[in-house]
Amino acid sequence: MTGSILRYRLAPLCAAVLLGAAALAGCGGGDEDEDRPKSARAKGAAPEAGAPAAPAGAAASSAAAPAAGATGNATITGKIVFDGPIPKPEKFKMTADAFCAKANPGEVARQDIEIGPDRGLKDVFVYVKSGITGTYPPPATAAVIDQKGCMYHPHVFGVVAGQNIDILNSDPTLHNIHSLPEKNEAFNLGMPVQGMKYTKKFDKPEVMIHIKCDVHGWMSAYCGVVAHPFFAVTAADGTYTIKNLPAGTYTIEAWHEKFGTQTQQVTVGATDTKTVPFTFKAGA
Amino acid sequence: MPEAFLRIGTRTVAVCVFLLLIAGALVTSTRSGLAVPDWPLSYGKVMPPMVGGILFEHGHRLIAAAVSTLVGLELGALLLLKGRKTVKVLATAAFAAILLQALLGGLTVLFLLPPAISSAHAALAEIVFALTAVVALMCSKTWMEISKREISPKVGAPRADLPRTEAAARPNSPSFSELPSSSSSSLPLPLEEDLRISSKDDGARRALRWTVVATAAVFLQIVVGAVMRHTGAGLAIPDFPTSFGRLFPSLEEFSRPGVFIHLAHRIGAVVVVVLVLRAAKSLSALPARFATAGAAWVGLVCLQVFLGAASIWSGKAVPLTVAHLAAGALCWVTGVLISVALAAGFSDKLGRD
Repeated sequence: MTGSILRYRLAPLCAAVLLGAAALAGCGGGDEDEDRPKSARAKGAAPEAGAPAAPAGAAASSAAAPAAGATGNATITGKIVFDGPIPKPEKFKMTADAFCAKANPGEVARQDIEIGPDRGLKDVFVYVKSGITGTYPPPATAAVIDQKGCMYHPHVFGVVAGQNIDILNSDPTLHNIHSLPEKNEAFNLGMPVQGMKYTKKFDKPEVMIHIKCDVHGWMSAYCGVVAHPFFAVTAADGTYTIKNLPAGTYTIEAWHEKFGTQTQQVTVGATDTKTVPFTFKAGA
Repeated sequence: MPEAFLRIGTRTVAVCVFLLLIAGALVTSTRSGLAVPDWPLSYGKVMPPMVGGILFEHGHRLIAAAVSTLVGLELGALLLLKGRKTVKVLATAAFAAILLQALLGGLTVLFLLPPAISSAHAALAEIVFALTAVVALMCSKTWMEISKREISPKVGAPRADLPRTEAAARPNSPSFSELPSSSSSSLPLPLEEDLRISSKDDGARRALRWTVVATAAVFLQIVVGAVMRHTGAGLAIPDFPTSFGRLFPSLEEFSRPGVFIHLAHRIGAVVVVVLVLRAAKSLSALPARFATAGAAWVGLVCLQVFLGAASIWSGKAVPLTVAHLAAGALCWVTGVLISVALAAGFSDKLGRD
């Protein structure tokens, strides 16, 4: 009888407790992802830069259409440089995939920090964080991100909220493209065939959205989604230009995936060209 | 069915579940969980090219399919046995759990790794491991011998060496300690010396209590660890044993994403160490096999703490995080097996009380 009691009572009890505990395990957790950029993860962050300001009484009258955003002839330009000892590029081998290894023989430098000979910092996303009012329709032309040679091209890019993004796979190997937004809808698409194309879009402003390939862990890109067209990404020499701004006072933010963000205030007249340089330092 | 076949088979299944757990840990540690975006197929195929993260994710799926089949076969084989209802119930639970586990695995891929589903997937894996390990224990030579005696008319019959009233009151289910040293069985009986416990022994009762409490704490710690892992908080506190250079994080640091769950895991580790040490102390007063198991448990927990620390020091190096998860699973199952063995040993109480 003893053994019977043990058999009949112990086993179902154990099983029930264990399965219940598993269900409990699912109760924890949030939605943090360490792959997401810190700026995007920060809680209580200011409303997205450049988001059209709600007109007075908008809450009471949802039918009121927001004013169309204006453009002008002002220009903000500048050069973003890195100050201090230049970090040694982190290198890796693409041995995980024979095609990638063949396309990129030997060691390959990561795309996260690229500093030119005159200290110009590449792939900094520069945009008007605040000061823009009104709404801007997304451009009809799609932005393009290509998976080529087992790297993303471009590594950093910007779009207007709602603008189409054409995602291409130019490689004869498979990729998945996985976005990690916080405010927009995430996607994870398999692209097993060379020449495949998907078109996606992010509807809400969000700076920045991390995009990665889980097949090839080194493949990483960032997309800045803003509510207006006043943004740029620095070229290999660290220069950028934001054109067609209306006259006004703006907060300009520069974002780099390793060195964080910096902001500056600038006022431009209707046809002014103002220079807004930034200097990034390691660990600043 | 040959007992040896059953014994080896159930042990093999438990070991395979453990290997599956390691394969799952590799998927998370290499961040390959979404390398295959679709489920149940992989890029629309049964067998995609095994490159990059697909090697880990699809490899995990293939191993899971094989192990699920093994657990199903184990259940089928056990259902052919006469009696052994406990084992059948546990094997059924294991099979049901591993099927649910597969479903959770699919859902977490399709929903882009929500921490709740991923953590439940991780916790259920531990439960499947524990269930298959207990099935293996109950199909072990020792346990099978007991089982034989339970259904043996010779053993079930009143024993002449006991007073009539006691013999009549005794059920035909002898416990470890009750097994005779001679008579019906020809198998060796190591139980006499190293497994004999009595329900009248307060020390044994205490050992069971502490072991169950410590095992529950280990499981909760694993759950907290899974949540930490799947919310990306593994390095939320980047130093160890200090926290941001201090004993405890400041209020500002505490409010940072992931710090709370990470700190909970560290505090949980302290609680687990204390409880396992206490359980091992109680076990040390019992027969040799329990004392040895308790000592091994302490050793595993110490190893686990070191692997946790090393994971932080290495910036979450893949081999170390995988080893941390594997050692955690072994800590948990060790506690479960000791608890079950102790509880089984107590079955003599009805006969002796």
